[in-house]
Amino acid sequence: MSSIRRILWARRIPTGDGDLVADVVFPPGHDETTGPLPTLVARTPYGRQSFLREVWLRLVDRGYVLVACDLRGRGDSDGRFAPWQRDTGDGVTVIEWAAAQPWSDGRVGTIGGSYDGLTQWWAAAGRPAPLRCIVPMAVGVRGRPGGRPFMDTGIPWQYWMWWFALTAGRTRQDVTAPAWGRHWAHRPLRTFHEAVGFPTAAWPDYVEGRIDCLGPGWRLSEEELAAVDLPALIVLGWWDDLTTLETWQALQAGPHAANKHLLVGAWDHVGNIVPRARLGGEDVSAGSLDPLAVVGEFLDRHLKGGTVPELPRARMWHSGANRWEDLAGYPGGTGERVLHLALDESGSGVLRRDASGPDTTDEWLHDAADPVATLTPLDAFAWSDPPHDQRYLEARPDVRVYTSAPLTAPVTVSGRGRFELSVSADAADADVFAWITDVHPDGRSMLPAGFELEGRRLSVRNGPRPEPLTDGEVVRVGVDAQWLHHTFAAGHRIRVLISSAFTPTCAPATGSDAHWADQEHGRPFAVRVHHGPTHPSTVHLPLQ
Amino acid sequence: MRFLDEYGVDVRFDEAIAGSDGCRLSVNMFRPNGIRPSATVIVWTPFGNGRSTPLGPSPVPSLGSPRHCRRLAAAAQVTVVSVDIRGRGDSDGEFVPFVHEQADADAVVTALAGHPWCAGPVVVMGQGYGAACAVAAARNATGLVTAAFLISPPGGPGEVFPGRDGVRRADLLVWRHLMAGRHPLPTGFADWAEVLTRPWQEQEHGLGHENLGWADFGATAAGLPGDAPLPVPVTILTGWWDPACRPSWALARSCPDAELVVGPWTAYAARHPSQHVGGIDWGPGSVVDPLELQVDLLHRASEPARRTRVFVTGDNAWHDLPRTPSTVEWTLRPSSSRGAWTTAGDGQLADTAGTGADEFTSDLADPVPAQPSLGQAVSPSAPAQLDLTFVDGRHDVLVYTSAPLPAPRLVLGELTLELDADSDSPAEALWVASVEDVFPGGTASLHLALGVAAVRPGERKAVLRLGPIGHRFLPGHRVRLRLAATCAPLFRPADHVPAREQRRVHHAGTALRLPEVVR
Repeated sequence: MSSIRRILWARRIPTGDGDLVADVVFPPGHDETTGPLPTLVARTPYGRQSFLREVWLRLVDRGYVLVACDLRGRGDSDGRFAPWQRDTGDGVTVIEWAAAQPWSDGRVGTIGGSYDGLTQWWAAAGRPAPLRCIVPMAVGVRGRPGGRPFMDTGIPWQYWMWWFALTAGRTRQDVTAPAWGRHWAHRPLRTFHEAVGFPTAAWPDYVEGRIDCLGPGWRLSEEELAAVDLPALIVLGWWDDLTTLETWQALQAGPHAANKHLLVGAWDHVGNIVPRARLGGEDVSAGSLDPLAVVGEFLDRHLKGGTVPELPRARMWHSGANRWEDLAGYPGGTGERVLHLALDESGSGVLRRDASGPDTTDEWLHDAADPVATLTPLDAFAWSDPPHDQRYLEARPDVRVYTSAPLTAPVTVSGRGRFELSVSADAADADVFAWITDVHPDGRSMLPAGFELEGRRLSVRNGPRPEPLTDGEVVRVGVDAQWLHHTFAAGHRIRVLISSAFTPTCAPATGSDAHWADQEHGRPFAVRVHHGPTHPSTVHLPLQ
Repeated sequence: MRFLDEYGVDVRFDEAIAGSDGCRLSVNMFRPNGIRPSATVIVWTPFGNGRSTPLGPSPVPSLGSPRHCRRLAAAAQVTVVSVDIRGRGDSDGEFVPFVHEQADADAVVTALAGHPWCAGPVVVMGQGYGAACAVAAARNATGLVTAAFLISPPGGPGEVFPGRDGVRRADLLVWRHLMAGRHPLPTGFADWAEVLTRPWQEQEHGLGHENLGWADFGATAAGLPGDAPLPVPVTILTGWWDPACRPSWALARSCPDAELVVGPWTAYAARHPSQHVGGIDWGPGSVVDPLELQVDLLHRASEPARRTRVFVTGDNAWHDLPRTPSTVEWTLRPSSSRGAWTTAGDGQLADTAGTGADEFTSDLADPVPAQPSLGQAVSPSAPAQLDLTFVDGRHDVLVYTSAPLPAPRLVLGELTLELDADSDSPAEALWVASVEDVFPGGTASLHLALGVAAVRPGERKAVLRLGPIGHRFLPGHRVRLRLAATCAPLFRPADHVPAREQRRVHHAGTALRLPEVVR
């Protein structure tokens, strides 16, 4: 059979408000006169030709026609791109158009990751009749209950300007061209897009709160998620967008949980397509597989029927234990271990199971002009690979470290940890970030999951309405930790890192209570974590 | 976190400029940080000015790519603006080849002249299609444009687009496919061998397009600016095996203030320097970085052009030439006694004319290949082959070879072939001629020039313009002329041509004329 694939280029799909443009790819030996075949639809802002890579065409070769479509205002499609704004109508139109073509058997599945996963959720919300299954990879769509901006953390992400630059104009831009380094410290951030050289980027919409990650234009409501009765395969890597697992949690709790499946491996955002053997300086090859082969099995079952076996509910890479597990559900944690943050006699941070001990305080100087910064290269942001070993961050005086004693028996954490922290600052506002590492006997402090980490802006500790800090006030804040399915082996130690900044992803707090986009760097100020009976700080780990 | 700012250049991406009818065109701007730019460079590109990778492996970024603009802005301390032409990259509107470029180019220059990032004289640049836009701007916006830098300017209709001397280029279907959307479309999915051998009317469909404008391609080429003189200093870069060599040569001759650089390059190598071109190592001295020429032009904007520099093959060295080299006509005429089929025939080139004729049968189903494979036709970065021995054994190629030369002879300028030939076809007859240097021993040859003509039914005479060469035939080397009726997939066969036709070349009326430099 010839390896030449028939492609119908730039087919125009009328919407009643301009045309959308798609390429139609047939498997070898097929063309528009043969078939009909089950059909895959991908909708992307990154250029529809991105689906003509060999990795995606392997799915086509399983016997599908692929319709790869530019989103409205992107590539050759008409109109203007509205990032992070649900385009359910366009999604339904493309799916129905594809299913109505003579080469389609009327059964449609959708594929793609990240934004291309988001567009699947948006289309599914419109319940197009031909849609039989979806494979939204590496993206979350479940809103968070607190009502705060920026994924309910209150902390704006400077990273998004990089993404808005990537998707400025109609085609994918060369984001290595701007001098990101020189401009990353630009203030006020309201004009960041101008400074960095993308005046037409959607940054002002983010600044003004018109669009937001997991915001109203992005998320699906709990009711909409519960109503998704289609089979869905959720794919994710541990060093990836972990908000995806909140979406999974909602699906698993919904009325159609039985046809939802989860695949989580040892890869990062781009690794959902082709995982890398080394990640963050760590050999993760044992935890990688061929995700698109799993996707192919899922599509075969739901678009071709027959005898293709069902995937397990959750196929997870169990880090630390270093094995794949097929689970009846995730998370599997039923218990909880609470560890208390404290200082020992030498002043070193420790994690203890008992709450007794004196009241102590850990203080550092937060400087927005010299914030905690990961080794993320700015010109390759989302595709970069900063070290998993966090010791380069721990060496900073503004990253505080709390470490357990070596474990005498393995501890398996399955689910999402949570911090309850007592914090104060010599400023009207500040941020706090906290995350968990696994300290190996040789001293490596390895990040078991997470790329973007979460924190909490102190002024929104009680809800979306800002409440500036007053003099020396100690406040209690909850901060989500990473989702994990991880075993801390005997001899290892559990470590918690706490900081007041996490750049370049997040814009560092300046201590001001002005709008974040109007602030200058300001002067350094002290931030404290409190421990002990009066102002306890704890980490809560869901145990399996 | 990496903070290195290696160029010190500010950028402004997707800035809106109004095209000639108000259509939103998108430009990217690059300005050295903290320095008032000494000039403004405007570069036109049809491949998307935001593309993050060069087209093909190359140490030198493509003209108009972000990497190129950043380097040029930093190196010359100028503002560089790269323009997405209408319907390409981030620009609105529909791309119809050649139609909007003249008016849009004028509008872009006028709009940018008043932009706060732009200062100093305006210098326009482009390569290939982009060079046509730059030529259009330089010719019309006279008061604003002060200089031009062109790589492979395609000249007017009948030079490169839509074909040559009345013969359509079949391989431009690949280019048209590449240009069929805002992103360059991939070329790796089609069975080009199958598509390009279909009747041209069926090729669009065979390729998977609904309407590529392939039928109208010839008509729209009338919008090309041609090779009328430019009123500003111009630097032109081309290569001997660049299809735009002939129009580049002509444009340089017509302009009062032109610097012409012709290297041992294909069109791709003129854009992406390499010392290995066509299977030959031309030596490190053959390599010219276009960026250096651009900076040089910007630094001497008000000075007159200096010279014509050509890389003389055979010598394999650069020569500075006078504007009009003094040459005499060296004429070689074909003859044969047994027949000139294949290199095993006895076709000869000599000072005296033969009196006979050579015949051959041309089979449309088995055309003479332009290259051993389709690589060059499908991808400009594919290796070219300059040794034409792969057609040595074909009976549909007439081969005429001179005796070994007793002394070196330097040829510099355009070759022409006066052809006296006929065909039994009721349709137009294509004639393709190539000239080579045959190395001593005859096992290797170097392709120098190619010409084509369409002879109407009933007519016998044609003059084939083979374009310029700069070549020294060394002692012991021989000159070879090949004649054929097809050259696939470079030239499209004439419509209604029969499957097989009988061709005849008359020796007495046929002459190859080479301009030889007088000592």
